[in-house]
Amino acid sequence: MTLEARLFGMQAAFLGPEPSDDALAALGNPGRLRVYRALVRAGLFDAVRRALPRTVEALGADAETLFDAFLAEGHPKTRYYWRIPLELAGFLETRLPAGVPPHARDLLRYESNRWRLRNEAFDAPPEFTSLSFDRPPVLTPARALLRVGHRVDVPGEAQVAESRILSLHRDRHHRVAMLVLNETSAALLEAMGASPDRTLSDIVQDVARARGVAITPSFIEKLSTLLESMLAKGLLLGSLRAPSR
Amino acid sequence: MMRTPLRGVGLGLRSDMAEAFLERRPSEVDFVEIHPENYMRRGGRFPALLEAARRDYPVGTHGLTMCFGSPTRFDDEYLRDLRAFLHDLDVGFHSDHLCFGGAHGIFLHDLIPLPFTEEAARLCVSRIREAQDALDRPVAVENVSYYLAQSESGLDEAHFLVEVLRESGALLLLDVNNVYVNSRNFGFDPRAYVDLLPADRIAQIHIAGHVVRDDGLRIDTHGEPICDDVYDLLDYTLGRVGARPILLERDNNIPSLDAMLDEVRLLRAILSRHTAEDAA
Repeated sequence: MTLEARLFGMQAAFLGPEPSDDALAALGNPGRLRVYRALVRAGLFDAVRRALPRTVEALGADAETLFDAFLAEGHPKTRYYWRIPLELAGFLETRLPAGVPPHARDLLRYESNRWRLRNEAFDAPPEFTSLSFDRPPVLTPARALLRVGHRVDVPGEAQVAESRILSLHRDRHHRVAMLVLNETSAALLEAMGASPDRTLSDIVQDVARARGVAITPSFIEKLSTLLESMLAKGLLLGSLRAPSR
Repeated sequence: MMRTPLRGVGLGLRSDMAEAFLERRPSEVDFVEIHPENYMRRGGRFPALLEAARRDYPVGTHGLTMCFGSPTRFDDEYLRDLRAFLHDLDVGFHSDHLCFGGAHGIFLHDLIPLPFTEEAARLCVSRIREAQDALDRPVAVENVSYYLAQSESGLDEAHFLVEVLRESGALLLLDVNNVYVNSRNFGFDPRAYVDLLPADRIAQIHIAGHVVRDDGLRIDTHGEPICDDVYDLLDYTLGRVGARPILLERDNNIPSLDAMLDEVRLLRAILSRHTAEDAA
């Protein structure tokens, strides 16, 4: 057996379906190869358990079955150990079987997004200054907006069915912060992210028009509260700095 | 620019203990070691942790995924990024493992042993040379623990290692715990193994703890205190090759910082005996 064949054979034996003793014997001592198989799989699963503990718990016995499928079909393709849970989440996005607990899908999205925000490097935001309605708003690039059907953000209540819009972002202290939004607030946030050249004033008017909401004193008061909260939590950084002349 | 050499006893800076460690900045620790893969392309608290570590300690780098025995091409983009990362840290050398770690874009995230054959040695030599050129600095290779017989005799590993070092020009990061674990699992004399190694190539020493399974197999976990036999082997090794920077690895089952510093102090005591001998 060539070196390549031996090494590729071991890789397949460690990641693929449980191999037979006969198949392993061609590569070496089956018992010791099973030690390696167990070590490799435990090491990879540990990365998942650390990042997605509540998802793993919610999936129960399915967690290992799904992880096996990921190893065999998706394969860990990242050299960055901390990205393994994100690869798994991507793999499972369209593969979670119908039989898993309904809140598990939301938990997977919630926990994997929190992990991504805690760990990924994001581009720096454009230069910004204090918030003005006459300039485009600047959001932190390390953010995610999730629409979930369960109270996954509340410890111990993940199984409770409830439509929620969760805005997650990494704050100045590198922690993941969260805002629970209503549809109008979420539309405003999405428009801010999608329209980097439009002023905050235009964005607010666009969203109000699209949602059929009148810009009343009450609306403006709620808008001010929302913007203050977004600023205080570090989701909204300010307004785009005007180009220097 | 002057590259800061590593001296004394260092500690692996792992994310589970990094904040507590950097807040306390213990003077017993002379340098820290990081895995580049844990900091490259990573945001959040990690850039600030690395910056704090650099401010207070010399930093060494020890890779996890270059694995010189993988029979597929290096990822050129990764090598370019790693070169820039190492250049920024200004490390004197970069180390990684003499093993297989995955192929065809798949990463096992574990250290799989190579057979101690000429074919495997040629592969490693070729990849080490390529890495040294790409990274523009010396590369040190680390001997790994193995649980699967790779040859008729355990000492064949030392001959394999010596051959790779001679042909590649690489430095050696000698893991004395791995030598000990392999010697017990495969029945050879660890001191005879150390005697075969070229002292002038040993750039650094790694030391860690391991577990003994019920069936007697020893597994290199980096999750236990160092055992007395491994301290003895370290002492023997330093007696033969002279003082070298020593790095304590603790990656799992991480104890209190005080417990790790107790081990660091023991290592310092052993090292100081050999530093004094070298000076005399």
